[in-house]
Amino acid sequence: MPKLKILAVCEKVILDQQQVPSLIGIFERMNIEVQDAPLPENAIAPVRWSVFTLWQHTSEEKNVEYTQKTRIVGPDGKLFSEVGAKFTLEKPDEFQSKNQIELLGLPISTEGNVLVEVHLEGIPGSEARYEFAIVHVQKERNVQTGPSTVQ
Amino acid sequence: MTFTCPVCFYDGLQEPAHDYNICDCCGTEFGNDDELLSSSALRERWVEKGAKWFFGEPPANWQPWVQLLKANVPLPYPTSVTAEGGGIVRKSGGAETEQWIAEAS
Repeated sequence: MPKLKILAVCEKVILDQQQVPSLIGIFERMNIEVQDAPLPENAIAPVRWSVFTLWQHTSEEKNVEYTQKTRIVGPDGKLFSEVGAKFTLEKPDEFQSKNQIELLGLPISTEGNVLVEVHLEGIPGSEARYEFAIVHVQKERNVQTGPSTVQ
Repeated sequence: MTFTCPVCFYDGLQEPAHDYNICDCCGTEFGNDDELLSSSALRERWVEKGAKWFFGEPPANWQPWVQLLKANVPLPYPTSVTAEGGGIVRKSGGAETEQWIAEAS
């Protein structure tokens, strides 16, 4: 069974010309500035983000097709997105599979944790999860004050 | 073949957006509702009412705001997101590694 070595949620994954990944802005706590009016049901923030996984294989796993299932559950407990990605280790000198799931919109309607669950379809014990927090921060009001004078 | 609604940008219409066909997503009746109101005005009205799915059950994982976002329509509520790191990043090995490199070279 492939072993999951990295599961990270981040703003961006940069791949260089040799397909070496760099993870930018790993998600831990996302502060959402809110105003007096409540956010609508199922509100999202216009953010692009990525789920990155790196699986370590053994030589017996060459040419075996796996399906990585990724489920995103919002802070409100509702399923936000579900993505399936097939992958196969083909080249003889490779022992890692790297998957990037790109997502549009961050579920922000309520405070709490966004849960990212990953597993390989049909392979018990491959489950892993990553959580990050959505925190609502009240927008500071601009208080108008009179000009101060220094005597 | 599917078609895209010019009002809500749902891209799963089974019939084109005319001839009194109705969008399952926003409920616009093409050739009737859009006779007097523009697509953007109809969209505003749909959004004001909560951007609800109109007919039957929505597709799995359907999300109205993602649908609008993909069409580059500004979201109808203000959003500002700032990432914050929780704890410190523990670093180690800096000086020792530099010393090891110096000794090795």
